[in-house]
Amino acid sequence: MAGRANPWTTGLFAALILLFTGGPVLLSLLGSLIPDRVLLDQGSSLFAEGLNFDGYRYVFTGELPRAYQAENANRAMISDAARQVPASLINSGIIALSAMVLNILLGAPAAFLFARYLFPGKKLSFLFLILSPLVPAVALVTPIYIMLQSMGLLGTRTGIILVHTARALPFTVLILSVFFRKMPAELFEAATLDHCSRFQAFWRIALPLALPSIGATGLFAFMLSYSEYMFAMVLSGDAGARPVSVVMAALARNTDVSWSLLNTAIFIAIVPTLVLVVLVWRFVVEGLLSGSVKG
Amino acid sequence: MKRRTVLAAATLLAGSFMAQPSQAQDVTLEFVVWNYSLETIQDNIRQFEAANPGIKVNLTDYTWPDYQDSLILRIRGNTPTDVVYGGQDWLPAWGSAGFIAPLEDVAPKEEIEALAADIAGFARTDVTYDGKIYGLPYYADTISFIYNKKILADAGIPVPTTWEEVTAAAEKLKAGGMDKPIVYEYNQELPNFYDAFVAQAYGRGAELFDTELNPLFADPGNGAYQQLTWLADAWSKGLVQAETHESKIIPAMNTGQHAFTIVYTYVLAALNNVADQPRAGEFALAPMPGATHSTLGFAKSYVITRQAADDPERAAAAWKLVNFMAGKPYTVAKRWAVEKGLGFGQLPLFQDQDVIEAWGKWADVKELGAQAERARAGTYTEFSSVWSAYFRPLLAKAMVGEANVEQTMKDGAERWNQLKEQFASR
Repeated sequence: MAGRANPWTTGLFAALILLFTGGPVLLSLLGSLIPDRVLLDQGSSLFAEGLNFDGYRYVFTGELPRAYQAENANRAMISDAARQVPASLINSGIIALSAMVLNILLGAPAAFLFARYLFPGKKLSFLFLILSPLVPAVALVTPIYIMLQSMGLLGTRTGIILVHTARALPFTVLILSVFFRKMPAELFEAATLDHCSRFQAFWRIALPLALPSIGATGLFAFMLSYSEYMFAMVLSGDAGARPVSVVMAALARNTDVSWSLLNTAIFIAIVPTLVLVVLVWRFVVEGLLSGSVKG
Repeated sequence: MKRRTVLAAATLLAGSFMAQPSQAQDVTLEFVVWNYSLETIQDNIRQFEAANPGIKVNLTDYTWPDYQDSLILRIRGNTPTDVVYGGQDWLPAWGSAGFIAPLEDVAPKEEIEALAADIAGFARTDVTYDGKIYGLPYYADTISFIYNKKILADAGIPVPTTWEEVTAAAEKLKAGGMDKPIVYEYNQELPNFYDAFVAQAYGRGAELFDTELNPLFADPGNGAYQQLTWLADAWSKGLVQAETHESKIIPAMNTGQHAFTIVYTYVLAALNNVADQPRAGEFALAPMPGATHSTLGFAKSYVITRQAADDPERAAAAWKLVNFMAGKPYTVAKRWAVEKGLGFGQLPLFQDQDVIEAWGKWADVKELGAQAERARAGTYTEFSSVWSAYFRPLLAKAMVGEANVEQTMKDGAERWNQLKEQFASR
């Protein structure tokens, strides 16, 4: 029988986790509402000039923060890359959703075949698929760039979607094949007796049972795509197709950006991710775990 | 029936797209930049397109830290690329690899010479490779010796003009209770770290290399050797506070606990920025201490790719774009200076009233103009970035007394000679 955890220890660990995960979010929110002058002045209270939404207004409307409207203000600190954040969130959403859908469409049938059927070259192709993520991404950048260029897909969301799909597919196939393998063989034997084809067995029996795992794996693919940087940076080309990972890197790696504006951009970029995590994280964990135990 | 309706609708839709009046474009240029102030660049492009009907410009931008790698990937992948932002440290490698073309391949030589005559010496050197001009300045800046006017005035200390006077002033301030009067960007990972050292050596009038690119700095009589000795001495006396980046120097100087620093001049604009700095207005630049007061300058530029230069139509359009962005009457360079505070390499702009008015809020424009005229370019070769990455850690150790100055300079010179030999035999 497992002993009860000490509530104080549990509370302490929970507080530490909250501090390390929620702390930066709160700091970025606070930093986005306080003018640079106050943030950088060690001698004055953080709330000396109150809170303002100037950074948010700049990101969404382009109106300069009040402090930077002063005649002597150095406006070089106002990076208009911050204004790309809202559009880049939409780009990221489209790219990650598409990569997720493609992963499910291609990965689920592939995983089913690998899990339930024998075919020539099965072991070799499965090994090839599963080991392919071990190739360093940086070694793939140039060939993929040249390939997409020849297909006319540079600077398009489609190009990034295809690459992100390919990068996540091995994981999708691996996770789902584990789940499909654990389904009772009797189910499929019964389906064969009822004259179900392979596709029907997949579509009518395996798929409905695997829905939680498929959903979870799809979300995993979504998150891989949403946070991917290197390919997105090289392949996106311009702001029209640029996802949020690239825009945030541009802002965060530019040391001349106003701190308040940087915090505003960080907070805007975090919000959708936070909402998504809160809404679906439990679903992801449950779905993934459901494939990991026999039952 | 349903399918027919869908088909008919699709045909109508396609037809309506095809019926859109198409804008005939003779040339479409691909312009690649790093992503600083894209809205201003796009507005400049709009103005260029309006003034040059028949030329359309597609803008592509990459983040600054990934810019060079992304650009090389583009060029090696034969992605159409016509005009790009170039940097002084990249120019020799790009030029020798045949990625870019000298401007004389796309424009009349006398026109280029007339423009070059207006460019500050250091910036002209930075856009020149193998004796040919490859670009016109987009942005240029110098390294400045910056001090806090109020601190010096309160302590009754005159602005130092030599490094020995800097030591004396710092010792006086330290005796008066200021712990570390000098704040220094100390980060061996950054090219700035080496640049600031070269700027100080230039202040003493040092030549780091001869015309044959042989290193001279290992000689104890050389200004660079003397400056490293000076830095090690200042550090050992506890006069220097290290900061890892210029962005940290700005708040450090704004605490009022430091009087001197050596950074790029754009940092002075940030230090005196009323929008975010509590001590804005207290900071000024002085000529770099030393016998000649020279300093290091650098220029980023608009350059034309070899692909564009090899196609007469694109070459002509690319030259028009470069000339619009950086040529007379310097409207675009002036716009960057006035609206964004960016430095420039076109000397006549130091006499421009709008520039004087805009920059006068954070710097002495006359002094800045004089500094730009005195400034010298760094020495850039195909291997200088490799060498700099080797030399910076040695420099960092010597400054803080962890290595011997003589050995550091000797090792630096030896490595330079090895690389020179290696690259010569390629």
